[in-house]
Amino acid sequence: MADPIRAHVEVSSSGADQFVTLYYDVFDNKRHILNHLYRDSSAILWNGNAHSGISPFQEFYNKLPASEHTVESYDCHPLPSRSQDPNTPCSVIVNVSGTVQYSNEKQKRLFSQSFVLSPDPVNGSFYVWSDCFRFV
Amino acid sequence: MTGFVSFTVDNLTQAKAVKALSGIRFKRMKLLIKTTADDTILNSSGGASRTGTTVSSSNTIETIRTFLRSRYNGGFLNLENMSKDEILRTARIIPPGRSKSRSDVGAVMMKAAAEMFPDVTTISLASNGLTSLEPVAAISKFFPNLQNLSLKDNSISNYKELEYLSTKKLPNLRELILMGNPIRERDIEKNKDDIAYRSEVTKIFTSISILDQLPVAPKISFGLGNLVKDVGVTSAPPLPAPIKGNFFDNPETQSMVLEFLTRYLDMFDTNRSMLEHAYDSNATFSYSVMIQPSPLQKSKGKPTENWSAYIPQSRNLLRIRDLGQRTTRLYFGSQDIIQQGLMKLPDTKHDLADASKFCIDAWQTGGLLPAVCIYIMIHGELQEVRRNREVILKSFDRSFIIAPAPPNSSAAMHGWKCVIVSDQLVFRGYNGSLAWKPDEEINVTPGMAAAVAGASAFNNPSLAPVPGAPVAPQVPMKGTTPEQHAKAQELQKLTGLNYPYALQCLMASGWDVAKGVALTNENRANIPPDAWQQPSFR
Repeated sequence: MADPIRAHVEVSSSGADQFVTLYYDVFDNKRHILNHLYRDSSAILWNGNAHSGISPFQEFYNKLPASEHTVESYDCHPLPSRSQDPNTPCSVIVNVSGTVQYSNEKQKRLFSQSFVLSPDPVNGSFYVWSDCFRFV
Repeated sequence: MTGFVSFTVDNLTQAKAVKALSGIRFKRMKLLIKTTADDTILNSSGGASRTGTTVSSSNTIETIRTFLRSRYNGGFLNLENMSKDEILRTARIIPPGRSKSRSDVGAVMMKAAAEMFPDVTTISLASNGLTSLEPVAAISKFFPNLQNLSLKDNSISNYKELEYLSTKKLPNLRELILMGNPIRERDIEKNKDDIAYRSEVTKIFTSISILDQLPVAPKISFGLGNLVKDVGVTSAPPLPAPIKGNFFDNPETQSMVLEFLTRYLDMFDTNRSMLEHAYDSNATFSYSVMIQPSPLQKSKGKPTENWSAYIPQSRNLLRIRDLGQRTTRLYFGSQDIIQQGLMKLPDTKHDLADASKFCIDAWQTGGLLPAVCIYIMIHGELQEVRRNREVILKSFDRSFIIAPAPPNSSAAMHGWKCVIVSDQLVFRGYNGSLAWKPDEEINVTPGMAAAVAGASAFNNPSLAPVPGAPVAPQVPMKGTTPEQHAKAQELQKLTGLNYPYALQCLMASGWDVAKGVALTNENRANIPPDAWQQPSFR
């Protein structure tokens, strides 16, 4: 397909597959390395609480009880590239829905989490550009 | 494929014979045959033909539904003085609490009400001769999130009889009315004040903040908050941050986003094909369905929802693994999005007048796309509009990425300040709006102001504001017409609201200043402190 975005469907959706599996595994089981998925410039919103970059967010999630996320649904879109160069990978928006059980709670909560993933201009690896989490 | 036909027969014997065929297979489909009451049967109730127990009980339920329909209005279920109700009397249905009433009539009524009106927040059971709450205890099962309950002018004379609906059963109850019950009047007469009475009632209903239309005295607090709460209660446990309401990085984003969403969702409901102009020529749209019943649906024991109209195009990547399917379920460009995507979704209605039904997080972000854009996430509910006027509530989550509409673009020429680059929608079972209700609304200051103050990532240089954007809020908000701007200033003068809240209020009241004033006055107690005009620190 000549359509530049269409060409990104495969890359973006398999990237979303990988990311969703990785993210919740890290969040639930290896939270100490979660910070590697973010940058200091990441915009992070947790139930309306804004965290400016990874450091304050780290402080927050270290206090969050142990969690178990169950993903029920996710979808993603490739976003138009900010660069003229067609080989530059484009950013991806990924929306995830599911349930989360915190270790101190009896009932599972429903959550909706929306990520924008963007390639690092230096090494090309993707990181969380923004993260918007809500109980729903 | 599902569908239904209804047919009428002459008498009950025929009806039973037809109903007995339910479950047979026809063209590889199972036929389910149900009886429904129609007016002739309802009106002939008590007549000679009313003998079959199945049919007459389905008539009873249908009568109760008719009755409930006549008693419901916008979240308020008015069940006052049921023994005088013509519909129930004609059908000889004795309401709960009266002597000789069937023990399950309260439960049947509440179950039907919860199915028909899941968004009930207020119930009045005034003047029903209730001596106990036992006959209406099913309220807690079917309306676990009830906020307001009136039991005015009943015959409750014992505190024990209240415990059928205590805070353990209704954790979100906010207001209770017991005026005109012996339990209150007798105590007040005996003690010459209502102190003992109010103390007893608030021990049973610990969550209420208003009793008999007066605020409950604040409790002394030791700052341990939820830590010392009864663990058995389903109240919020100690998470390291409170739930906060809508987030906007600045008032300008707020006004642009509210204007965009108001216009977009209204057009989505009323004139969907016109939305073609709101999408960029390279925009993407897709939707997915989360079919698992919501916690609210589970708590009400609701049958599984039918998602068959949505499944064929649902782009849940957890299930859709094939690249071809992943590609065809993603719509590209405004025409494809409208013709193949949006127009094929069921008709909807978003209740934009009630802001509490929605939760919006939005901020501006530069460096992501070639232009500065706004990221929006909205959670909320919509009504699926069906031909038989049945109300089907669904919850949804929807992200938009919007960018300034280029001059002379189709979007700009159709009055859109912003054009949609990406639109992703999730449908799920109805779960109400409690999940984003801010914690401790009264004591904790200001969702929005505090969030913005602590939000440097949202204002840092790499996330620059739209160039040329007004800084001082008194400059007309981008996206407001001069008329809207003037109305906002007028409302500011009349109410003392600040500019962004005045705009928000006007959007909620259809740009009617008088309605805006009324709305402000009605909700004065609940409006956050940062909504009012403050001396400038600049």
